[in-house]
Amino acid sequence: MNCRSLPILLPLLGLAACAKEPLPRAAAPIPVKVVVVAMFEHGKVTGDEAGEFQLWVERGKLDKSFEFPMGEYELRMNDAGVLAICTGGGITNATASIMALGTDQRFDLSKAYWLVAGIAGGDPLDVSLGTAAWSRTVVDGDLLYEIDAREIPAEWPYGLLPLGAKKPNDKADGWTVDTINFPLNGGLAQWAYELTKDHPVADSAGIAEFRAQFKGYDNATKPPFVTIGESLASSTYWHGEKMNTWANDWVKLQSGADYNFMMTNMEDTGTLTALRRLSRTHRADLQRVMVLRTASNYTMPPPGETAAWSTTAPYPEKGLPAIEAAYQVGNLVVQELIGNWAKYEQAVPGGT
Amino acid sequence: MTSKLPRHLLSTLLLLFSAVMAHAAEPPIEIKVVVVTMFEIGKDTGDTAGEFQLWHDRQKLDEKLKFAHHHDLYLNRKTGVLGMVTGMGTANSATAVMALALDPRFDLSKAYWLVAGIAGVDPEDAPIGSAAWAEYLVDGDLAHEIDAREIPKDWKTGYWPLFSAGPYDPKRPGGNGEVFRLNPDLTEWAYQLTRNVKLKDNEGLQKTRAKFKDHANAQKPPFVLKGDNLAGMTFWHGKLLNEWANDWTKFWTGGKGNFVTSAMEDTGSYLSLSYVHPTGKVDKERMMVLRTASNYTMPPPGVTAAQHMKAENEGYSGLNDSVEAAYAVGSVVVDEIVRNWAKYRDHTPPLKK
Repeated sequence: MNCRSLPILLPLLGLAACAKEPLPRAAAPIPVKVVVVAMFEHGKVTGDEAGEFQLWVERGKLDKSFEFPMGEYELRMNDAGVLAICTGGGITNATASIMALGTDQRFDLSKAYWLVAGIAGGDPLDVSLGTAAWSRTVVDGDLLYEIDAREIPAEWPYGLLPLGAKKPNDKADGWTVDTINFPLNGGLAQWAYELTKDHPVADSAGIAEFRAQFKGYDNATKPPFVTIGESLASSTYWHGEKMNTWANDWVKLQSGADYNFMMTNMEDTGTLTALRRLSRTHRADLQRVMVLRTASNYTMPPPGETAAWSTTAPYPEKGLPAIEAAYQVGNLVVQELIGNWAKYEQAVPGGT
Repeated sequence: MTSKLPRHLLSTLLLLFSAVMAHAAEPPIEIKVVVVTMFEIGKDTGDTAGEFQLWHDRQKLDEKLKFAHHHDLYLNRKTGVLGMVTGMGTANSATAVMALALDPRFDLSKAYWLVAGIAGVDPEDAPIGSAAWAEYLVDGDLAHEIDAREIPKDWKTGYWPLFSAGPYDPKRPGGNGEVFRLNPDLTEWAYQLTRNVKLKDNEGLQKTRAKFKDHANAQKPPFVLKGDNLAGMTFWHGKLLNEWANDWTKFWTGGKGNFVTSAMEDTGSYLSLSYVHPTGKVDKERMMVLRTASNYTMPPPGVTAAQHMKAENEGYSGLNDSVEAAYAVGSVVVDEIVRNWAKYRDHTPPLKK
């Protein structure tokens, strides 16, 4: 932290920010324009192999560091109002981290846009490696009943069914919970898509070679592109053709026939659970949340390979094309927002 | 620290500022015990009891405090007992516990946290209506999974740990929140304090448990035991996943834990406490998890998992009894802490002689 840059007319804020003590609550909070939410990082925040966090910190010059003892990494911010957090992997880590940031009195998040930018497993029916998808809704993939598939009735397609339901793909008529489907601001997702759809996502030999194995899957064999498609989040990192069928059915069942599962990941419904709760006290604005996921791997094996092998096979090119795409596509939106902040502070783009 | 302000001016300002702050804010309410429940049926009082209602009524948690997270909080200002309903699933429990832990209205630095909720129970260990104190909390969602019909022949299950290539690699991968151990002395203390609490039995429970002919423990009258909790938002059921639950718990606890209860929240609640712990606002060594059995995690002989799950959907056979058991056992601990707060405030039990 460089305290010399703090305005001398804000001594209380300066004191607080430089002290190691927790901040006095009444210090003027720092207005944040965009929160970038990354989920994992390799090693250090800068200077080594990039996870989801590092490119934002290095290229966005997020040089201000804020202690965040409740998270895995410190928070990073720049003078332009961009704040980045790395939540750690899995629903619970994401939930607890976002809740901790959202209630943090050091920041004014009331006008902030939230951009979840992370890698994911991509459905080969829809996307190829490196492809970036803007989500219109986020669906949870843990909150289910489950029976081991070797024990299910013959007529069931799989052993996963809605909580409170009697068979797969039946709407619950017993109990359920309200944290399964999180519709995002569809207008905002469309706006972000329009802004980024022509971005040339980098292709490379490693991902081209891997995707060529998906014969018969037209979208999986294309060079990477930008699209609109839904995020399914679960702490359970599932894989395979049968579960991919379930994922497509599940997203439609929960959010409607117009929605299409494309990207599986381990955090987004946790993040949205926290943001929804924060919105009730106006600590976050749910209309300003965007979820961008980029495919580091496929959700099922290429023809001829087993699910057991494919689940944990190394990501082609270590997932770097997806990490790069998440930054590049996401950053177009971030730059647009902070470059025209006077406009976007007042009105959310894509609104009807 | 570098600043253009002279050092003495800084200190003066800081002192002034602290003084102003201290004066302005109301002193936070010292909480002795937070009772963490996960769901309530209908209203918080006066109708069918979910996990919260008995606590509300019997502990006289009459003071409602606004809380924008699922349910409001309820406090008994005299005893310092605070009750909450987190909502179901680890994401809900993690957000609610995090929000409470950081809530400036309360001083939770010495508070004990008692999770008191219902659960599925392994018929191998206990009958419905029983109450189990957990020492280990294991997460059941953080895993790789492929459909069990797609697994290699030599695999027992389609679930395996993240950062590993198949089920139960003896070199256990690094943790991502898959397992937490509660303060074992506190758990043991709570168990010893309550092990002789007589739990209600009735015809309904007897009828249900009699069906579990292959499981001796499942046929006993309800009792208090120690047994570990597997927490996952996926509500699983059946013989094969029950086997997995036992293996999974053994694996993550290095053979020390035993899967007894299945519920949907406790790893999330604990994770949030452990996040806030370093700030001193809460003490994660003061968390206890009590789960009482409302249903079995697998069907009795002759019934399929799908049939049994469907039947349980109509209402858990042991719902009322498990809710009563949670209060009967949990309140012994709460009352003991409240009554002897001078003792328990600064030292967690067992107290040194």
